[in-house]
Amino acid sequence: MGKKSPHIRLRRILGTIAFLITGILIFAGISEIMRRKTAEEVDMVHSFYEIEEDSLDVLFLGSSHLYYGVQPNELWREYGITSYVMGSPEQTAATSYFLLKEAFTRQQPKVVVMESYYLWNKLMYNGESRLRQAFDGMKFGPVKVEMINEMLPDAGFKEKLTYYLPFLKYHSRWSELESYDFTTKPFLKGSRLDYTTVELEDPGIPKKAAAIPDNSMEYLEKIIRLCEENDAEFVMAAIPFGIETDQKRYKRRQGLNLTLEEYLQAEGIPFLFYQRDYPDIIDFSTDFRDKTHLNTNGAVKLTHHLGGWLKENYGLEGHKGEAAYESWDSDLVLYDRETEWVKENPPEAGA
Amino acid sequence: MLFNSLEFLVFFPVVCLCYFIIPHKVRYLFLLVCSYFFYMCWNPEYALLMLTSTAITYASGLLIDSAEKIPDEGRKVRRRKLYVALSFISNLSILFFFKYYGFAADTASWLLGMAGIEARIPALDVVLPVGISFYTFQALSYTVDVYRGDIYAERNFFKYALFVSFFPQLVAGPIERSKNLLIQINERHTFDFERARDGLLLMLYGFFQKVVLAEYLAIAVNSVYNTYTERTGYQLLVATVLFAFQIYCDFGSYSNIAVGAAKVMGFRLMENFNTPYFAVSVADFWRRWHISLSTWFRDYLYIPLGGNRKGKVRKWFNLMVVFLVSGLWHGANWHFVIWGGLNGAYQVIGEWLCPVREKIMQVFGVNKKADSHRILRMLGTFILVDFSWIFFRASFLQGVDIIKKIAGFDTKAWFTWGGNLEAMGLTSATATLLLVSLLIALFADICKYNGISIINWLTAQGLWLRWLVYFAGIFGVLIFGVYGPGYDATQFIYFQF
Repeated sequence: MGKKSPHIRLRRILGTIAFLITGILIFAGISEIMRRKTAEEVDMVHSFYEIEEDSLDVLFLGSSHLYYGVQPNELWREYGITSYVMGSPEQTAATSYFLLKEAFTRQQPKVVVMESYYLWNKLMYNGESRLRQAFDGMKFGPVKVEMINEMLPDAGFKEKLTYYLPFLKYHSRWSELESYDFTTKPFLKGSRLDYTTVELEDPGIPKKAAAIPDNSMEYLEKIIRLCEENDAEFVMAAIPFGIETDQKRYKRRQGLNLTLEEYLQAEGIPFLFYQRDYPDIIDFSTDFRDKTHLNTNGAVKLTHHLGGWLKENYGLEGHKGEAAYESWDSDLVLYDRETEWVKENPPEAGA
Repeated sequence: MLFNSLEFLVFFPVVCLCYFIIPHKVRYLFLLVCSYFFYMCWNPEYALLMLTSTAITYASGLLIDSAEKIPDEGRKVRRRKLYVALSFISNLSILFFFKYYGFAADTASWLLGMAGIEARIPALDVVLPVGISFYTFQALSYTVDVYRGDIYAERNFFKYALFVSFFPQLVAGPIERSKNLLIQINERHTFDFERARDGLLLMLYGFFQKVVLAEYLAIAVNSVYNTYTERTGYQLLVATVLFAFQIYCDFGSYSNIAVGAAKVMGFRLMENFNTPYFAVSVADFWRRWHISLSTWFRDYLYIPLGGNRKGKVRKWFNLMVVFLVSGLWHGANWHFVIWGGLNGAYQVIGEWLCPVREKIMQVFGVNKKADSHRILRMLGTFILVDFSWIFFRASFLQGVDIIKKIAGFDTKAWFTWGGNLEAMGLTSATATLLLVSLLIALFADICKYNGISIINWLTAQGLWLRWLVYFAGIFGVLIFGVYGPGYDATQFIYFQF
């Protein structure tokens, strides 16, 4: 243990620092790969960060009904409107709230459109996996801290840490890695493609209104306030759906839209109740991938209408031809290629 | 706290950093506080127990030392022996109460029941204090060492308390000797880059042994052993071989992490495992396996019993005593005693049959120095040791059933194609990982057996190769290790003893 020369000491200190930095970078890279499986190739929520700052016109919030029902690339193709689907499976109002809050830290969308279906759920989040699917993709920051503290008030330090470092939860996924864990498709802007078709009949709109759970109302109000604070227009939409299990449940969930409509009217917030007010847009015999979600055919039709409506009501002129928005054109090419591929390679039944 | 826990990953760097920053004079006090904190993370109350053992043995050292001044030789000897006896009786009583009371009560009521007497011995619901067998033995060795004049009686209570509670080796060894560790507490340790790096590399290898190897081996072994009645002889045989590796990796990992962690801070702990499965006889195995415990029994039980100085029969008796006690030390259950007994019996029978063996080899002209012969002996030793592990892992009756099945005395087929991986709770991916990891561990042991230090070789290489191996090690453990949420860090096997 002789005394080392200052030269060797300096080299070692720098070497150790370089080693630590390299290690952290590798760790971050591996963490990303392990995390992505949660969000699948769409890289839900996380692909939001790939969009250039302050370039969004419209932000969508909602559950699976949303990300199967709206196609941002179609909005761009037809209207030059830039949008992102901030969707996640079974997204509760509380989840939407935090995702919106995060979105506002990077984007100033003129309009926020929220899909209404999952308001029926009275929980903060519907199980750990849904929470992770929504928030693992969110980058570290004050919103994430706030969200974790509010969503998991009773969680211990170690459990909370797994939300900041999802690697702790997902490292054992090494044996399940597939090619899409390495190449995601951010050009889908949060939406999903699926050309599967099931034939349905429109069950119609029930007469009786159903109550919205308190928790959903609380966070819906918070979302409205948040939009006001950020000078964003707030719109709600109900994307059509069929009967999944039984009439009773269908009526309850669809009846919720009647209560919602009343509330929104009082607040002066527009509500696009597609199944009732625009019955000609969606054809139940061709536009559904399953009993409750639109397929991409349906999504294209609905997006076409929605874009026109947004343009008309909010004067969204579009950014076609603007140099700063060229990436939206190249993404559209990728999107078209992808839709061709998906049409030719339909998912296996039951998937 | 466990070594393979997030807490330790924070605790250890913080302790190391502070250790080298604070003045030398108070470092032992700092380490003492850290060690008690480390221990109290399990069960704060039981720290009092460790403190009691510490106080008793500390006092015994001072008293034995003070007895030196007694002019009357006979009285002096008697007094010194009295202090040793008091220290042993009180410490072993605590150990007995917390570890063996339930076992003794069960055995007594069973024996009385056999004699037709129905006895109700009150049961006590006590939790086994973590590491009690380890620190009790370590503390007792001090009493004897002072008695034998091998070490001075430590006057500073806190330094002595640190010797008993030094956190790297507190709960699962190596069981240190005062001759080695106590004097190091007075040393002035400065930070040494190379030493720290070597210590960290040893810790990394220990983590690999624990969270990758031992954990996956545990999955395989538990899957088979926990449902052994439904398993084929072949599956039980494989699981039994894997258990030999599991317990080696598990226990070896703890020692490596302990030695590595101590090394980072400048302490030299004794080696606890020296490629045990390359042993050429059972006696050789015990010179390579849990060395700190084997030598403890040699120095403080075998030799006082007379060792091998009182004739062959007495030596064999002494050997049996040592291994039966060692069995009991490992766990308060008869199957541990059987395990210990088997290991003692192997050696006694081996020595007894030695002349016959020599004769046979002479007749057949076996070259004892040939590698082929050595490999056969290693294999034979492994089979004997592994056979005894069955009674370490399973109760006596279960063990007998398992042996019957392995030997083919079963109505079920001994071997079936297909379903073997699933029966072991493995997939083709995890089985491949396990195989590769075992080969890495085998390679490491082959190098060590041949006196090649992988760490020395590696640290002499160019930057790209060094970093490649370091990162492969770190991320190999992080990715392939079994840890984290949904996973309750399975306790190190040796914690219960």
